[in-house]
Amino acid sequence: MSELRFRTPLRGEIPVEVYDHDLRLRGRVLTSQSLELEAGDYRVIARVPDGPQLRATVTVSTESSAVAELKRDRVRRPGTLALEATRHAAIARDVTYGEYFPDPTHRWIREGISPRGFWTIEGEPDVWHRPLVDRPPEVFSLRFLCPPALPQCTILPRESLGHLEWSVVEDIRGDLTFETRLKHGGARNLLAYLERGQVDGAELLAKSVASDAEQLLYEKGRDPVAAAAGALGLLAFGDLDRLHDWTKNLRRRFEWLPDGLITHAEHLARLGKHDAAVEALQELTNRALPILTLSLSTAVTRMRSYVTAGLGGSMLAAATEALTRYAVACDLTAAVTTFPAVDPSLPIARQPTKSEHQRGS
Amino acid sequence: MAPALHALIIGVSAYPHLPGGDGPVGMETYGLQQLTAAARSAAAVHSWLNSAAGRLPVPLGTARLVVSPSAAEPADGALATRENVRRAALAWREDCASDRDNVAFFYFAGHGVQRTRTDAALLLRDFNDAPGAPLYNAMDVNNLFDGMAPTVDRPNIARTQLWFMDACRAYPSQFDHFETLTATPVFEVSLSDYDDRCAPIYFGSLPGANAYSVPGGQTVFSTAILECLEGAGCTRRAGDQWEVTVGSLAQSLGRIVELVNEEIGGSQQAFVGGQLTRTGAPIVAVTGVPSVRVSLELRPETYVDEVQLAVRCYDGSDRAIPAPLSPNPYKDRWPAGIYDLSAQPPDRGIRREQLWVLPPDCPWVGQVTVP
Repeated sequence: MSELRFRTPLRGEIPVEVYDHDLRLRGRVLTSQSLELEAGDYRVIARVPDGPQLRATVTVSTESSAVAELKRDRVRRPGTLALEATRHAAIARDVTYGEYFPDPTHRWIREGISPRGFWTIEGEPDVWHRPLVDRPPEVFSLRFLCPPALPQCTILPRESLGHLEWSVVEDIRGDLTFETRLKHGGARNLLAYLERGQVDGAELLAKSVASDAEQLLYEKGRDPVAAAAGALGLLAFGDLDRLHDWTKNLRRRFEWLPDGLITHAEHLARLGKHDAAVEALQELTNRALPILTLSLSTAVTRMRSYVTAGLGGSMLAAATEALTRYAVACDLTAAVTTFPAVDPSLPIARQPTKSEHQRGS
Repeated sequence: MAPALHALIIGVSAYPHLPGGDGPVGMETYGLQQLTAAARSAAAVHSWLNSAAGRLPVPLGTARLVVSPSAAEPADGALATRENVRRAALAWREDCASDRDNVAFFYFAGHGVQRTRTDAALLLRDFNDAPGAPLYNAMDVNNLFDGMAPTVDRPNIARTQLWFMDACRAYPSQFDHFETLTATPVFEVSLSDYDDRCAPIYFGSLPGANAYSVPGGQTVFSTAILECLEGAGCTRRAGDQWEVTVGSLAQSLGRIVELVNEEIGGSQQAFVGGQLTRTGAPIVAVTGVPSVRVSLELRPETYVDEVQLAVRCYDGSDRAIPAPLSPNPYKDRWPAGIYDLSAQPPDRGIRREQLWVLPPDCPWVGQVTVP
């Protein structure tokens, strides 16, 4: 047996699949890991969500370890459009606008131009007002304006800004998307793989993020948003043992993080501890909008179950209604909760396209 | 009773109380029209289950089909009214609750209003039959999913549950106060015990446009599901058996949906949610070697005449490839395997290489250069 290692042109670790000459899947690991294999020819594939496939054919010998140098294929897939955005000089795919926020307590504007016209990003500190909420949370509201499209909005806890980054991406149709992403590469990839249904790869990434739990929660490089993403991943895969006290500690240490509340509530619910889960979800009333789309989806689903069961009273019912309003508006493919709205407190629910209206469908 | 797979399959094409239906149409129609493929798609899934019975991880126990067909679709199965669906669902759940090693299988095709990635209100045949609660004749995915959780009353309910939602184009914005609307519960609410189900929800829905179905045929999503279950979504692990698992289906479904969309100009998307507790859980074994979509493309298009491709199979036989390559890209379906691809003349930038043809598809692009 010899060791097979992996090298890719991408930053960060991603899942790879290794097939032998009989097309059997011999292993699925992260590019930061290695695989012990018998001598022979192997095919290595990395399926990058919204990106190209990376491939390599490698021969493993008995004498020494081998390295699979994965290269991009040339196939144009719907999701590869983002990589083409770098061709448009007006739009910086990888500029981290977050670095330009002088202070989350002050208003901030950035403008640019694309072949489609002018675009503007407006950010300002705000308070997220809702009915029956006596302690509305302090947030930072972002709006991306690129007429004639509806403004795209996100509402973020101010404490979260340091863990996020932003970019404006142009797709092959010329449409612009304002994208909020997690800075933590592993967590960002985990959500992308989950969103694209690449669950086997996502499971590996969830475990990798989980292995950083101590650092994410306690240490200098702590990143509670990434920790929440990791927890969501482990919940999706039912790895409740690995979660252990993680969700409880995330909730306790970062009270401002709505996603921490949600992951703890969901963890409790899956263990059958519904009273405690209801109590956790009731606290969402005084929290900001969940940062992650998956958190929002998880919360709304669970809250609706409890409200239907007559649990949680009017407080939970009101919170459920408020979050459902965002759930039926948000971009289901975005990792961070993003929704169209003229006023961020009034999200616009998903609606037919203009062409569908015209067809009367 | 030995463990078995129990299926509930629902397809609603005909909505009598929407425009074009044969019943009274309400004042409000929520932007919805009749469908033409949902019932046929449900029938196809039902037919597939019966044909695959010998390859499932457990024997096929029951397969209930409840439909509301359009005039052009087959009419087998009970009519998909709210009451019929409710009765079928209750009976289905009782069957599933007999043994934790049972497999539950659920498929719905028809109008659905999506809340989150994998939750929606599914509209049944008698939707909109009277003014008042708009979702009275609808059912919530959430209620169905919760109702199938292990509880004190049903401790042995199936721990492997496969959920397929093939929902079409109803928009929350068309309903007043959709966020507070609730569909009529099918199952009574009972909070779960420790929920260790492997219960993926494969959800096909529209992001907001266009075709939902192959004209005169099935929905994009059901076409993709069946193609995956017949091999495009399979993987080969230890031994010689190719099989479709929870994880391999999730991985392949999105890609096959994309390819079917390309063929018909559709734009359905696939999401996976629910509980993915055992991604290696088998769904169906594949007979023989799976057939894989292959695409060979030469770029730039202007140099297509400069090159002839040759493909040799692992058994030494040659695959017929048009020369020049036409259409470009050239699409075919080949048995999974390793092929040898070469080009003549050899100085046109296309190097000889191995093509590893693996599910779900094998696209290849060659960049032609002219000296």
